[in-house]
Amino acid sequence: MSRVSYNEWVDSFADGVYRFALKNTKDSEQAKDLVQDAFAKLWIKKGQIDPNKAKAYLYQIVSNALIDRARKARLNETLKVHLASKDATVYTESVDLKKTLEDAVAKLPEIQRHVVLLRDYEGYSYEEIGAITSLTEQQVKVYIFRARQKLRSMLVNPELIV
Amino acid sequence: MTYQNIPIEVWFIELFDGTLSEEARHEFLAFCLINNIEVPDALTTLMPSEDFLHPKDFLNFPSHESILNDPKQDLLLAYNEGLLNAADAHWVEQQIEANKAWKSLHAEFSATYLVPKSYEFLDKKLLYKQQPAPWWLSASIAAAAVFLGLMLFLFPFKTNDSGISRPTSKVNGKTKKIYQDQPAQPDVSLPTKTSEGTVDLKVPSPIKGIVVSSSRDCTLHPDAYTEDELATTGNNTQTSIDSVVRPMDELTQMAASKNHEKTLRSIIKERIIKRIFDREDNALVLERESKWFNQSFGFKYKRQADRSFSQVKLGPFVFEWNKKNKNSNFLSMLPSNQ
Repeated sequence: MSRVSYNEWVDSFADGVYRFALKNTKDSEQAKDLVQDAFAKLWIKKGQIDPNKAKAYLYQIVSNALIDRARKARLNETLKVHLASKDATVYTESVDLKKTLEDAVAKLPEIQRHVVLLRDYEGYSYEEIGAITSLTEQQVKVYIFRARQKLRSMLVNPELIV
Repeated sequence: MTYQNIPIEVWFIELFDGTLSEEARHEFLAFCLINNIEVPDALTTLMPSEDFLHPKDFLNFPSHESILNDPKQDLLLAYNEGLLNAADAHWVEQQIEANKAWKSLHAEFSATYLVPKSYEFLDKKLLYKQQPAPWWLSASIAAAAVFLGLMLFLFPFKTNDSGISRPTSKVNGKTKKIYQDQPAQPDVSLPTKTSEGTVDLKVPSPIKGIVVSSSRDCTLHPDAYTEDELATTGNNTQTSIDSVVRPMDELTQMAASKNHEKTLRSIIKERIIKRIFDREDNALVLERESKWFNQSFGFKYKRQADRSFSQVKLGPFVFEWNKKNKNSNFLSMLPSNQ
């Protein structure tokens, strides 16, 4: 991988990776950090990565980093629940389906959220998502199905989002 | 990909009939055990105990999970995901058209799809990799550094004579005139003791009332003050040294006595600071505390234009020394005997 190729990938993939990170973290600064880390690792391993899989590699790095962060953040889960309860009225009063859907996506389990975002935003196939998330194709399919069912439940009953 | 959803009843029938392969049988039984599936009474004898399970069974993803799902939901999800073949997809479309429940459920699942929205990563310039510097440039810089180091090693800075500095900058006539050798002022109050006794020191053009002695001594000679001057200064003993109107830089702070008690020495010191700063606006002024002889402080100053080789500039200070005179102070001022 040459420097020119790398810079082209920055142009091509940075926005998508950033969106993926942003949708998961809900924090632009954290998302930027994740994108920079991902590209830094890509540059370090530029000699070992198949150029055709560079994009998947970037998403894989970000996905793994997000899972790590989620594990660390579980310690603060109680506080989050407490804060979320304060915003309950906001959710129930929201009539914006898009906003409600985004909130519902944020409530999905980590892995389900990843596969849905990769599927809907990036249009990856089950196989590609499996490669990124280290899951089998069947697992990806089931996770996506579960996620859709949960999202449907939350859209029908917005109070479940809280 | 073709979507297949085999209801759990079919699995049980195949299990009962013994038509499942050994691997499929194990997977299905493990799935039932792990998920606490209620087994029909007729099949309870076929269900193994939990010892049947291997650790890897818990790690394996329950791939048969969809058999527990509502077939309608599974089919609609598969339809939305594009997993059905043409015939199945057509059948589902017919159900959606004909059946209200299917239609409603289809609309609800369709609403779960996220609409891609573009986000721009604005800090791409941080990610770009720039063209590295050519190797010859790095090599040239390294060679120049080595050469410079070698030159410094072979030709170190040194002065021609003890106590005399070699000017590096061109000194114009005016400056030369200012720094002509001056006859030393006799150090009456505190003679410098050498083998010959008291030494007459050559100093720069003395400021009235101040004699800066040799670079080593830096002793202060208050003798040239007039009585009026001393009297005037003495009447102002309540004034703090810090109140002297000049920039409160480090030098001034260094010069300020820790003990604000106004002694004759502190008064003279204050006067000297004031005069030096007032008269030598562009001068480089250094000072240090001298522990030699009977004086506990000393002043050294020098004009900017008279820098010598043996100078090192560190921030606002220029340190200079005389290598030949090992007994000299590190910060001694060289032009003192000009």
